[in-house]
Amino acid sequence: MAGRMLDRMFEPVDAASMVAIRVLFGVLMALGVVRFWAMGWIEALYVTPKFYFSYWGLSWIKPLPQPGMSLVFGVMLVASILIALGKWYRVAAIAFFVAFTYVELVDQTNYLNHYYLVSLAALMLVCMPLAGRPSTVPRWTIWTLRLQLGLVYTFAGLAKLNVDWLFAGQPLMIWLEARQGIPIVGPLLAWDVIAHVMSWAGAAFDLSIFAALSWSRTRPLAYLAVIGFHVMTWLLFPIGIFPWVMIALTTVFFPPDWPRRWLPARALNRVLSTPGPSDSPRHERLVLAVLGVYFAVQLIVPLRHLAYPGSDHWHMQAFRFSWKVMLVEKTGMVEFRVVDPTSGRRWVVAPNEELTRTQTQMMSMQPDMILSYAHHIARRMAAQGYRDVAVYADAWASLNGRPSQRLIDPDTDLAAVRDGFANKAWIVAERPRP
Amino acid sequence: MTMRGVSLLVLCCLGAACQTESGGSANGTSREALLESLAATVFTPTYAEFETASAALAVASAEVCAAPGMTSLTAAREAWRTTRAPLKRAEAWSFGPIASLGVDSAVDFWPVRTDAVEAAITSGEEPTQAWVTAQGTAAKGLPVIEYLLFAPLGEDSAIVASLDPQTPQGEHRCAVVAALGERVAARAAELHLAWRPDGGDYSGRLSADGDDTPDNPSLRMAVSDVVNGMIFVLQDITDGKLGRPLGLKSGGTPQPDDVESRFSDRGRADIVANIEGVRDVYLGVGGLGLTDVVAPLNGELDTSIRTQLDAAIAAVEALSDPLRLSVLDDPASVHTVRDVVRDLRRLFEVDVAGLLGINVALSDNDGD
Repeated sequence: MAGRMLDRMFEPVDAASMVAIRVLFGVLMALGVVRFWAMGWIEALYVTPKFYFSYWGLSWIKPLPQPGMSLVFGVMLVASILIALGKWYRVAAIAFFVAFTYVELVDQTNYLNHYYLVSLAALMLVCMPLAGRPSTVPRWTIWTLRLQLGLVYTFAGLAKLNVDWLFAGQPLMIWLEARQGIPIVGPLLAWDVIAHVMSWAGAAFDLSIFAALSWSRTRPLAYLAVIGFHVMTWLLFPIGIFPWVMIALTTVFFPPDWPRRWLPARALNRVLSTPGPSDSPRHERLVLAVLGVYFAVQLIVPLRHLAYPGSDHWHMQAFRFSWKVMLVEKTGMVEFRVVDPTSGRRWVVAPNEELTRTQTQMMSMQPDMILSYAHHIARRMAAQGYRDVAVYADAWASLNGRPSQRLIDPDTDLAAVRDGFANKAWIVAERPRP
Repeated sequence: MTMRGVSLLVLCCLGAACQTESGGSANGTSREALLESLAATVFTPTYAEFETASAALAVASAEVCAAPGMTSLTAAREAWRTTRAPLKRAEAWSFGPIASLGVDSAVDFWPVRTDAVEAAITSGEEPTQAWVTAQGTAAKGLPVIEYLLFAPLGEDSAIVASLDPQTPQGEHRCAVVAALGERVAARAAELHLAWRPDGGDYSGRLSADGDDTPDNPSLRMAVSDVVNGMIFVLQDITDGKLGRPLGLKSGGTPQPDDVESRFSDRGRADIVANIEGVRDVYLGVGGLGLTDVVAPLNGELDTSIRTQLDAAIAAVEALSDPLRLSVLDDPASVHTVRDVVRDLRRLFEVDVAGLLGINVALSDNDGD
């Protein structure tokens, strides 16, 4: 059984579907980079800020001074085009993966689930034999991408199995209510029942779509549902190119030769060779080891929230890299009290004096970022000669329409707290929904 | 019917979203009606009041030169105070033309930089309207007029003398007051015109669901601007108007010179007017207010906001005047008032923003 599975895994199959994904991915990323540039986000997110929220252990990753960041995006653009064309493929894929991932790791403020997915997809492309005009690829390439997408949808669905989503219709109720200005359907969106129906439909979609796409009899209908679901989210919410990335990537569930059935041969011949016997080395052990480690990480990371008490939507200690997509409407407000025990002098620091509006907003609801900024304040004060200041946070937050409550224990000196993966006991427990 | 609307309608129906017979109901006032009403009953009328008061200030400022003496000085001071009230209330909605036309910084740059003002006056140039326009924000606007009419405090005869057109220096100084008053009036008229339906009609565009630009906001952006405007002024009070004089930025040492309107000792009244502006937007003035959107969604929050609005205004009014002395003599009371205003700010910044899906720090970056 295992042997048969292994043979099937390394069996060469038509490369057409993976080349289609390569082309679509390259084109979408190129458009994404151009859009990012045109919107002025390079300047706004990587040049303007005076402080960046580094990931724990990655504080050495800093933005390059201009024109460095623009150059990085330029590299991304060129690499995306080369990926689409299949030229200098491996180098282009590596360059794109490194550049994109670097940019995403500069500041936690900018974390988005779909950026994480793009990084993972780029990493997969690096490892896949898709250069030039391939004829076949080992089947594991297709399975790997399918399983990754299955994990995204399934974890996103599991995360929706909570009281807010299923029984309060939140946060969709808040978001839909705010979009009642949309022509024709806007007034409908303010109806509570719509939020409830869409919440349940969304959870059912996420939890069932992997199976539905995997089974050939339900696949066409499931793919239509994928298109409908993602187009609707694109129309309703500002989620950029993510819907199109998902619509493109989920074509991997169709048979490997689907492009040959649907697209003209003349066009295909430019990017594909005719399938034939493959004598490429299989590197079975290496592939199995790498995939084993990769998917172990992909399983453990989203489940790490089980190691922390309370709702992850509130304390957010395991929120990132976990496919918790569009689950919370969280707002916050924070100011820092700084006390110098030696002189008795006291300050109140309003974060928006230094941080950008986006940074202030994102930090005000995420305890690890609040801790990070408290440490920054302590360092700043030390540079001014106040070496042992205590930093306290007056932080409030509201989750999915609940009344605001304190997020951080106001008596904890955050300057004295070390960051890490241990449970942050100084986060005030979430009050239950009234 | 737009493509987006048609697409969503089809998708809603496909997703059974149109099956609304299970008793769901739309939640209260529409954003469009709210914005229409606020523009007609709060925003535009306040700017009209500001225009009228500014015109009176321009006349009174000119009188300081034409009929020098304590009588004209007192009248000009009173006109200046009257002008402050609508402007300070309007700080609760500092979006739209006041920002795009640069009227806010041109008429109310604060704190005033007295050295810049004196340098501009002693330059000896004739204070024409072109001269005023060419001045930096630190050397024009209401705070500068305040400085010239009120400083130094308690030395009225000296102020009258400094503005006496019979002396070369006084002639220039009172001409500057007149020119500045005229310029404030012109900018106030420009601002009001930009909102008026028969002028720039920003009041109409506010509720017209435009293309998400500051001049033509979408409904979502406009509601966000309204809520953010209230948050902004409340934060300005907690961090700037009270926090800075209390010494919260300076290691606890009070900074009375950082009190707004410190020459006229109108600092406390300015803050009261700010919160009254927030109250006007929230409760409405003879029309709809934000309460009409919030209350149907969360009655408890609505009650809390109403209570806290009253508490904040009462707390500020209870502070002993002038504020520049309160921060020195009774900082504990000022701290308490700041806490009350901060609680009000929290209700808007955290609860209302969360309830309405308002992006407090609106980012253009994609969500999620």
